[in-house]
Amino acid sequence: MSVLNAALVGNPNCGKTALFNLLTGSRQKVANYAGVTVERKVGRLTTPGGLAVRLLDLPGAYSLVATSPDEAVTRDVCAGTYRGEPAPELLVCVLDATNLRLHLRFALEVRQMGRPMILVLNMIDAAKRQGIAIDVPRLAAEFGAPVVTAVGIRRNGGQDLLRALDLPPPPPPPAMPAGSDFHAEARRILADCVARPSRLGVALEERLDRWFLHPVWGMVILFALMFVMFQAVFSWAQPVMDLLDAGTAALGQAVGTVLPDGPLRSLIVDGVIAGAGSVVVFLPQILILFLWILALEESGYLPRAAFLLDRIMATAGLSGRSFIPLLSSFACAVPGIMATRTIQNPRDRMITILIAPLMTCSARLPVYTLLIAAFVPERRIGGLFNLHGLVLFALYLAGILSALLVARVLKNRDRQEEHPLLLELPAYRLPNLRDLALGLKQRAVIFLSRVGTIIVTVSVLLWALASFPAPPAGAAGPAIEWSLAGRIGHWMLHVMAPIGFNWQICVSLIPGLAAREVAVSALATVYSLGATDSDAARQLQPLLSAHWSLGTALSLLTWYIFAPQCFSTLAVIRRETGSWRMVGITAGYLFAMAYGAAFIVWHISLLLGWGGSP
Amino acid sequence: MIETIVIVAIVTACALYWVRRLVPASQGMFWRGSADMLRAVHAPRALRDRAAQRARQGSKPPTGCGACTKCGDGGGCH
Repeated sequence: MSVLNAALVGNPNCGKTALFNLLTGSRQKVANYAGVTVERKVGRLTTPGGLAVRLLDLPGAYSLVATSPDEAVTRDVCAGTYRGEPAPELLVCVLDATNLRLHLRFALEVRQMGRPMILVLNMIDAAKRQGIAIDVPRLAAEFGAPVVTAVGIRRNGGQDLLRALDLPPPPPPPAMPAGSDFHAEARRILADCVARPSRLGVALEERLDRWFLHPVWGMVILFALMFVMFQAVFSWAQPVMDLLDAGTAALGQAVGTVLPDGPLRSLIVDGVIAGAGSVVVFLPQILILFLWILALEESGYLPRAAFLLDRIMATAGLSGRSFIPLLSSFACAVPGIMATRTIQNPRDRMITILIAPLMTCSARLPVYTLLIAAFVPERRIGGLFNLHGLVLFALYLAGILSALLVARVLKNRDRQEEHPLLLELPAYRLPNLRDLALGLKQRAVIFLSRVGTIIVTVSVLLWALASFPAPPAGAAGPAIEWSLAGRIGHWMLHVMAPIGFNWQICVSLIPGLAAREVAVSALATVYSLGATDSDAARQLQPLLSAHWSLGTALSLLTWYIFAPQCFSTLAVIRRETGSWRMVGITAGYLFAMAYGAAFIVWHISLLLGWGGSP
Repeated sequence: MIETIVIVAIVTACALYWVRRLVPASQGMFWRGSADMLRAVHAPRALRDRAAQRARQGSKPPTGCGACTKCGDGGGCH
């Protein structure tokens, strides 16, 4: 059976990935801004006529004269020079039907490659709502290639394209003479084929932009949005978190009753349930954080925020183009570092990679919220703001400010030419509830799969290290202090005591290198095994407030703002930079900053009298 | 006795999971060793073939954070 090799190409944010997901059933990330797709994705589909198609989703490009690594992928695949990828037999050029003036120019450039192609007018529903009338047959005749319409976000929105794929591939469209003006040709075709209404329809967008892009009010709105987001993380999640907490405790008790006393019961209750359960309770907070991020992504607000912050980024020597990768890093530094491929300047890209781990990823959230809930009193400020949310906001802000500071220092060493920010502002859209639900489901699956794999396995291994060897006969104190983990923790104290850490924190930092949230499960396992009262051990939060001083908690929070406690981030830095040296530099400077900042915070705490016993 | 065997099996499985993540090359070594051992002890043919096939496939280093499938290989990063 023959397979048609086709590739989706087009300008950024024209809906290629939405169409790709629709046709192939994939679940690739989609958002309402440019630069979401930075590498080629492969999917397969079968047309109604039975034709098997291998479909590539390529990064968006404004031109085939590539200026960034992601655009180079598109150029090379289209030209058939990408290593390990055969030249596509059919180029499916996706155009945003509401923005044909820009997108048709790129289609004309693709036409010059002399490959069979189909034009897809995506978002045709939005174009109709705006009153844009497109003479599709005439456009096909003028362009010299078949033209179909599509709505990438509707269930049957790709039917016309599927029918077009069933037909024999069209002949390559005629190329324009060398040196032709693509802009002029696009204008000519549009004048012949497209009728636009007056600009009344965009009046609302312009009014919104007047507020959102205002140098003062825009910043006020941005900070208000971020502030409310962190308030919501604490306020909305609490009831569900309490339920999950009670469920975990009940499960631990039930298993403890069923299993006879012995090492297996200890493994299941103190290792698996205490470890994984202590992290699962943070799922509601993570989902609320992502609900905000996904809604902002879908609405088209984020590129406007990038535009607003361009001036602030410039003070640190970075362009607004670094904003989207840094914003992605709030979810996880791995996609954030991959998103730096959209940055044209290699040095800006390298600096963005270096500072991306300072953005507060969602894996830090369990550590932050655990310590905040344990040490910050639950109080309302001015009867309106939750103090917990305020502290969380401050921690996120500390990450951002330190990232800007590091970028500033790094850029000071090398003043190069400035790259002005050129950013396409997409149309505002109401977030689609189905997409939000799918996005949240994906986040929940990612979080729970990490709990089920990384956290459970680390908890089991830590339980083994914290349980063996058994204490000698007649030994006093908790058994864990005689175990391998206990000895490692005490040995690490020589280095970590100057920053206020106890041996239990030291033990949790080692498995915490696998992923930051593992530190929470590790603390739960260590305290669970070390506790004399098993009921108290199931509640990590009151246990920490009883055993740690405020200074220790502040020092650990400071450590987590900077420490690169994530193997995956270091691995992706190696892959994106191709250099172990960069991995060493990143890990080295982040650990040094973490230690230095925690040292300062601990010693200030001692001066203020916060370092003694609670 | 059974309790000890269950605990050793669980801890070993978790340790192998991490060895596979941290040292992907060990997977290929493990299957090559298994294939040689199965051949030496004249194990059933199906078992030997399976181990030899896994040894031939080798192993790829992990490329992402472990949350997505096929990351960097036609799949995508979240």
